[in-house]
Amino acid sequence: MQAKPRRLATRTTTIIVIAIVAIVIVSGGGTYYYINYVAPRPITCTLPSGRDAITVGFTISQTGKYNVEGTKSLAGIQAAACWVNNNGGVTVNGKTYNIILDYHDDASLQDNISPLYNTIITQDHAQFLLAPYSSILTGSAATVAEQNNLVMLSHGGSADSIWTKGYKNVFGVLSPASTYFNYAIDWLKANHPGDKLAFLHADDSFSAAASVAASRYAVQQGLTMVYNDSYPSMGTQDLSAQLTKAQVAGADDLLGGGHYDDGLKIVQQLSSVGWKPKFISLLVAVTEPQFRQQLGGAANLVTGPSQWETIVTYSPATAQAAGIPWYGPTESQFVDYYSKQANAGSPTYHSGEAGAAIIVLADAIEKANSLDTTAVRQTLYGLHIMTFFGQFQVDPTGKQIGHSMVFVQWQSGGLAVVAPSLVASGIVKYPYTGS
Amino acid sequence: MVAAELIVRDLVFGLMLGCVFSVVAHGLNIIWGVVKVVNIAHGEFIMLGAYGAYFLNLFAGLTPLETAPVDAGIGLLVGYAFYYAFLHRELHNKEMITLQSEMVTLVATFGLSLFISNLAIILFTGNPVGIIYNPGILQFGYLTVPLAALYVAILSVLIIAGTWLFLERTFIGSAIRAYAQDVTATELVGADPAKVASLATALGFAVTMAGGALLTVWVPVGINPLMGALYAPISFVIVVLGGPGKMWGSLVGGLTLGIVIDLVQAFASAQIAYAAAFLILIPVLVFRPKGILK
Repeated sequence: MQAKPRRLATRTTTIIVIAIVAIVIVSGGGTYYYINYVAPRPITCTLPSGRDAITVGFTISQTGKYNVEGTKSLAGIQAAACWVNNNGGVTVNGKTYNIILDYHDDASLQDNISPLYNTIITQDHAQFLLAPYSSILTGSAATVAEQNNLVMLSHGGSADSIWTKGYKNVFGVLSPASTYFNYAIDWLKANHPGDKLAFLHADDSFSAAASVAASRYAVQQGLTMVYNDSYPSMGTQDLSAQLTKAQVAGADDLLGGGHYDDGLKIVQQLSSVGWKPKFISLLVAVTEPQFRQQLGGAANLVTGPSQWETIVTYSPATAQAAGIPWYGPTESQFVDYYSKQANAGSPTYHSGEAGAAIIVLADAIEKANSLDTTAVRQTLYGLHIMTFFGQFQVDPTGKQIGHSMVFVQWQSGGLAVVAPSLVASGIVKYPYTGS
Repeated sequence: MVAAELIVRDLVFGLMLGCVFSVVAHGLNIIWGVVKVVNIAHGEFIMLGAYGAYFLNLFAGLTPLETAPVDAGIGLLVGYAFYYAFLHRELHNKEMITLQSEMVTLVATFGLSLFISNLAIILFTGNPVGIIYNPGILQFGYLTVPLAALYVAILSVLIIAGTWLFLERTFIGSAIRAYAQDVTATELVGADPAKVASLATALGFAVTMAGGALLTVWVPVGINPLMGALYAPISFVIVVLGGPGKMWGSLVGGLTLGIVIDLVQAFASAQIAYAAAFLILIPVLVFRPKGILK
């Protein structure tokens, strides 16, 4: 066997080396270009180092009856905290702090609230609190916040009764329950004043506050109410008797519901009793994408109130026009943080209101320039700002008075904002067809 | 006219609801009547039956009606295991159940109830789930009858009739009835009391879990680890109303409860209807302590 000439072997080696170097340069450069210019840049939420921490404690319903709303709320809180930490943190007396979230799953059970909040306060040493999701759980958490004199922001509890108990430390970020159905009633008054209304709601504090206020408002507006009833919020699955009574009473329209499960079972059981109201407006459930996924065509043209939708864009320019300061991420930044960091799809109004609670708290701490409860509490009472969620301003009881709601309707598989007209993406379609 | 219309509708819905209540309580009735054990974990086995139906629907696409026999088969095995794990040691070689045995089995099944519900929270989470099953409606003038509830009602009555036939017309059934009346006599005629009692327990569990599967039609978004806490008391009331050990008593008690709940709702709130349904237990206990049926 004859050996290769030495020169030829050297040249082959050189070519191979050059090829390897070229491949490394091209692939490395390509990777660098892809990561920096092509691939979506993930928003990292590793806490910036060299800062102290502000611990914000809360429970959230990751499981149980309120799991749909709770999961969305948690993702909103995480997205907002991430934005604050990535955008300079919270500055107090020239020192910068990270917001650290300390949360536990309350399984949607009222019995879990008091022990868990006591753990959060006494063992985890939370400095500020967020309320759990729902009015009933918020009511339980509020007493613990008051006993321990800690500021608590409510993002998922809107029953007006929360602010009638003389609490000093509980501040609502969202509009109170008594205003939820105002757009629905206004629309019916303007377009179908002859319709007869039925109200059917769960008997928990939020659902009762929303529906009772709505029925009063409807009567004030001259509308006719032919049925008004409640059912036990815990355990009731069969609503056929109530729906039948409403139908037999001659109702044209149905308003009410409760939380996510309530909305779902009301629409499901309408077909069982063979009733197709002309207009349906339900609390909470309607804004969740799962509502449409689980009900299919039966969800079409169902309306409901919403605290916030991504289509409603508040911006620094809006704040400037209103003559109030702006704080926090823009709506698109919040959506970006939410979808990328929290990996939770699109935010719903539960995500928005929960995220807004963190943003408002961060701004209040900065404006108070203190971590002291009394200072932050006083600041919150006087705070009037705009965030991506809308305005924040509370009355002397801590109840929200600055924020405005919107009115939505499922139309051809999408959720359209149908009121107020200033931000509407469509108009109310009537009557409900059930498919 | 409107009131009459409302009453007819609520009566029909009450009858259908009562049928499914009956079958849910029937399993408890069999165990209580034959083995003389009050199964405090009854609600948890209803819950397991409902979850069985949910998962069979999720993974195999079965309807609640189709899942009922599968759940019943699982219930048979679970019932046997339950008897030998929790009851056999306390009951065998005893001619009649004593107060001590009652207390032991009561506490044992109470512990089991807590264990199952907490394990279910870990395994299934507390998130309520449900089965969407809507085969349509029947329309009779103003009266609308959902077919799902109608099918479930028919199947419930068939299950109760089936267990009655089994107990009345088969040799094993006769042995079970003999055991219910006199354990010693059962032994004297050559039947093994432990085998008879285990079979009765297995039958009770089969019916309970099938009832849990059928109940899913009435709980569209309500299958959760704690649902037993609602349906166990309802089952106890039904058995007491009908009379423990009386096979048709389950149906009488269930229909009574279902009709009262739905009819009262025609004139009052749901809260009052449930209170009224439980309230009828008092006169029944005073005037007919052995149940409505003779």
